[in-house]
Amino acid sequence: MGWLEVFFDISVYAYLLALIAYTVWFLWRGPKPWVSGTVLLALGAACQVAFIIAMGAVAGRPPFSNTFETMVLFSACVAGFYLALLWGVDWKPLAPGVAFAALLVSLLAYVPMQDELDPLVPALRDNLLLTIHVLFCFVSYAAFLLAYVGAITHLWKNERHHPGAVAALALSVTTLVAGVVLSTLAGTTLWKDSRGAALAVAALGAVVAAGALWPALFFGGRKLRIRDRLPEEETLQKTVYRMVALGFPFLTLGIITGSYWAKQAWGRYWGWDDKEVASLVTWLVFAAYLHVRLVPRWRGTWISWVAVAGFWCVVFTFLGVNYLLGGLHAYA
Amino acid sequence: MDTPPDEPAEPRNVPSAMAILASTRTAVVLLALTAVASLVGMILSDPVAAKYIYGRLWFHVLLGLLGVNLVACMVWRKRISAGRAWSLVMHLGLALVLVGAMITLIYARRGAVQIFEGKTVTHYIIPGPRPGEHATVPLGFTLKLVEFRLQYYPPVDYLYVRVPDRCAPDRYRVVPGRDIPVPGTDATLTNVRIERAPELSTSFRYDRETRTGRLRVTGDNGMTWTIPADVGSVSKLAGTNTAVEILRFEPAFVMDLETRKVSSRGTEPTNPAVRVAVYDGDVKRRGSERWLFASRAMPSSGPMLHPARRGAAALVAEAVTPHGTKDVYLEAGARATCPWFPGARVAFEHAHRKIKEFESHVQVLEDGHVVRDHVIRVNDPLTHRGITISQGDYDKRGLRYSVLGVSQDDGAHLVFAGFLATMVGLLGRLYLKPALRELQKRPSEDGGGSGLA
Repeated sequence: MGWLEVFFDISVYAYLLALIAYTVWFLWRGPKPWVSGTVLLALGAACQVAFIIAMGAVAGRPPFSNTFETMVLFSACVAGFYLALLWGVDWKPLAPGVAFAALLVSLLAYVPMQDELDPLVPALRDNLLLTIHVLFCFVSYAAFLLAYVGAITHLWKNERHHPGAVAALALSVTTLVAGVVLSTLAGTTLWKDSRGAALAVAALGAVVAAGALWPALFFGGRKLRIRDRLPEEETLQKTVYRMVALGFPFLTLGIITGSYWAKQAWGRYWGWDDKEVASLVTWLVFAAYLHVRLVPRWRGTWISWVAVAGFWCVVFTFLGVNYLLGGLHAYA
Repeated sequence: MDTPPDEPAEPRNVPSAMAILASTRTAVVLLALTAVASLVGMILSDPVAAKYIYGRLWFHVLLGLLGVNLVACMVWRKRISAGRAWSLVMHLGLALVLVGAMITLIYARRGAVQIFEGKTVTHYIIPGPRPGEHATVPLGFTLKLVEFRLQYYPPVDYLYVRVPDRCAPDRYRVVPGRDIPVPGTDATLTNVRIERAPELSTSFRYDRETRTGRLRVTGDNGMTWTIPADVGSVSKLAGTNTAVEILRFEPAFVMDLETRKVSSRGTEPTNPAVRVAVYDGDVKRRGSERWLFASRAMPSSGPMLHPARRGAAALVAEAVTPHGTKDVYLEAGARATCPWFPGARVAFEHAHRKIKEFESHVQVLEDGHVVRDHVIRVNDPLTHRGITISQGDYDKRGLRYSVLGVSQDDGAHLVFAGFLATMVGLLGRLYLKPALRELQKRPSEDGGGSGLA
């Protein structure tokens, strides 16, 4: 892709700097780090949008046909959503988590990065369906990621009532999942060159650092009273709900458009293909979330756990199926 | 969008079975059970999952219970307010999806038909109840395949490099004049060009005085190579990927025509001949072993070294590595050792054509007349009289026939209608309802009228 990659590289550095700025703001407050972080996050998102548009222009097709291209879309959606929804909601304390998520997704995107933009296989040669189906899915994934960040924060906030272990476990397991995904990717395509290896080490380092950082934040954070700086429980729950309420209709639309496309291309709207089932499982988990919220006794940490489980399903739907199971969506 | 839970408290004066069936808790449990069953099915994958999960009665009962829960939820909560209507529409949509799926499960037929070009079919084949069994079903019309064709993207050239300990080779696109970084081998190919591989002819010369022989290889591009005919020696033709091995020498070649066994009449070089083999890199070219004769009278003298790939394309470049520069010459189709990185393997693929589209040009005939003329593509099936015909497979050897998928599914319409209702209900429930509530609240907060109330 040559010079196009510069856009993507800039976005990764921007997310990294945004993470640093937001972390500084979180620990010491002050308007400057906050503004810097927000500008950098916006720069990263803008560069990724520009990269997506440029890829589409060069390839002459929607740039959503493989794992790399969709990962770029994913991270752009995460950062873009956060910025778009920043006003009117008490989102600020989640900023470091969002920047970290956007950075991690972007770093992971280097793994399946290709030197050239392949033409579409016959099954994908429907620009309209390809665009809306993938966009719907990844808009929902991004919303679910933000819901996940909120749910994790909620578990952290709730640590007082569930002596620490709950939130620590959530983050440790999550980090483990990220590590598994990363090593899976590393085993398939990553270790092919010195640049890829360096990036792999960087990404793996980020995951390990996250694994080490979160427990430190939990237990060390008690002394620093970091938890007191987090939004109120109700605000966090509302935030998670808003994100699920945003992602769920988009996921439904993604499944519906996928069904319609499958009917066109394969003559049936549902075939229990791995990707289809994984999407269904994700949909069922978030449907359960929306119902759990209606049962007063099940609110509290339970509901956040459902949101966490829902995002694990998203990760598996997106990456796990591609790399571990295959199926009719193997090209994705 | 911000909606605190406002579902009505569940009535207490109802039969307990109904209360359980219609409860949110039951919905959550059923959703969780369906999710777990589907997850297990996904891990098992087809065909095991179809046999033990998706095709089993208990799984269908589970989905049925989910449907019952949806309907019970709608029926039980009889009081339909404007606010609750959205939930009702959403649940009705989901119930429609489940009913449509049930119709699909029971009545839908999915099969295939293989048609040769110019031929017609009136039936399609569906799988029978037992493995290996088939049944034929009438289409209700005649389907003719006029032509099957493939569309390709413009051809491209690829270099494949397989580095040791890597499970798969890396692919690099070859564009003349454009450098190719091959990071796995710490090299960059420069001065890249694609040339026609020279046609090589070989002659064997034998000096009876010195009793030494040599091969002279001449390319039609003017290049020549001289190789000593020492038995056991392997000589590389500089600037190419080709090498010649001298396998055997017979000073007075003679062959037993019955056993085809070769030997020498004596030690005097009356009919000197060498047996050679040709290598692409270090891989011996299949069928390349042959005898070369010094005597011009022998008919097989001067064989072509490239009989199978006469005029093939070759990738010519220079590999710049930290240890220096190496010439690269790779013929299309040949696999060879990597000239610049020990242990790696390389191959050059010339004019690779990626399939862009499968096209089955078909006609639908009724009473001998053509009523439909359609080109079926992957994303453009033909639907006629409720039967959808989509592109499936094709004859990969000669493009003589096309395999078309045939499906007849009346449940699909209901499923898509259900999808539509679900989306309308979902958007109404999650967005419109809270927005309307906000509108209702504001005037009352301001001390004004009740607005939409």
